[in-house]
Amino acid sequence: MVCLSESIPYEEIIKNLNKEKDRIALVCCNSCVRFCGTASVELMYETAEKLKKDGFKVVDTVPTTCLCIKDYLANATVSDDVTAVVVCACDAGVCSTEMKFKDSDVKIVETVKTLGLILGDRRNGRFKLMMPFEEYEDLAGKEWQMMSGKRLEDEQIDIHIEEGH
Amino acid sequence: MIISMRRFTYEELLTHLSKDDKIILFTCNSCIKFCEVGGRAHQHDLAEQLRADGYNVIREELVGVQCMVDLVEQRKTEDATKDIFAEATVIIPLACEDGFEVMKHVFSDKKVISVTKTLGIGVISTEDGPLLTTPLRSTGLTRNPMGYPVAEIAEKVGCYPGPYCEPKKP
Repeated sequence: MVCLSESIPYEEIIKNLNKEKDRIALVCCNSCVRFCGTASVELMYETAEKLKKDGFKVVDTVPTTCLCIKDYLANATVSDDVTAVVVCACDAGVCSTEMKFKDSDVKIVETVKTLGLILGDRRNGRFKLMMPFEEYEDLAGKEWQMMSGKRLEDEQIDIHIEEGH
Repeated sequence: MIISMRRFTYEELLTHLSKDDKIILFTCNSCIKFCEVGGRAHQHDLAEQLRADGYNVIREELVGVQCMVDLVEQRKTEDATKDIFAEATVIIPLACEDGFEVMKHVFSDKKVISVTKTLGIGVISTEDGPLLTTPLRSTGLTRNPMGYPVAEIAEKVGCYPGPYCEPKKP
């Protein structure tokens, strides 16, 4: 299931947006982040509604199956006048979005932190962080609950992490 | 998408095998397929080449995602596959390193060969192929939102892009 993510609090996300100036598009992935409980089509629409309710100008919502397949977003129609894109996806999805808007001043706003690569076991509904990115190396071996994004205290998946990961 | 490449050339892979081995090729059908290393077609090409070279490939197995422990354990225990997996002596997982770790755990009584190196996550493009954007520290690379084409970084990270065997022409 590829990539482990944790949500960035809504209050942190909106610090990167301007109510007066920004015309906002939301794009989302519906793959790994959905299993992590950190983003999905439903969560994107929820975030869009919350932004509108809080006075932000949301002009587009773009669901994709998998944002790290560049072609999905590259071929998607996004309003020409957006000034900010809120990306509900892991860092690969963020990069895919940056690729699409590389020749513009559009601001890319992240909604999740990407911790590293995981394995999972549906019998106990857990993910285990096996290959963390540098910033999260202290979390190697820790486990998360599938679908909720909840970090768990104990470890039940008995798989060794190789040196160097 | 997890970005992985081959650890070996085909000839180097053969040095890890014996003609007495009973080999199962076991591919993940997710990221590694998009990295053009695994997936059903590339696995079959490798199986056919190994057979042509005198190796005993007893099964070509496929799973949707190999990083899910319970899915791999099903192959070990369910009626349709348990006998052939019991017979195997060597498993070659065409998967990322997470998939390899799962295979090593589930089939701890067998020789499981690590044939790929996982570099991080990235983006797949039909135009550009796999692009590494967010590398693991072990690669020595930094984040690149436009992505490193894997063929360009293969030498630096000590890997080989593309499949173990080129597809046979019809």
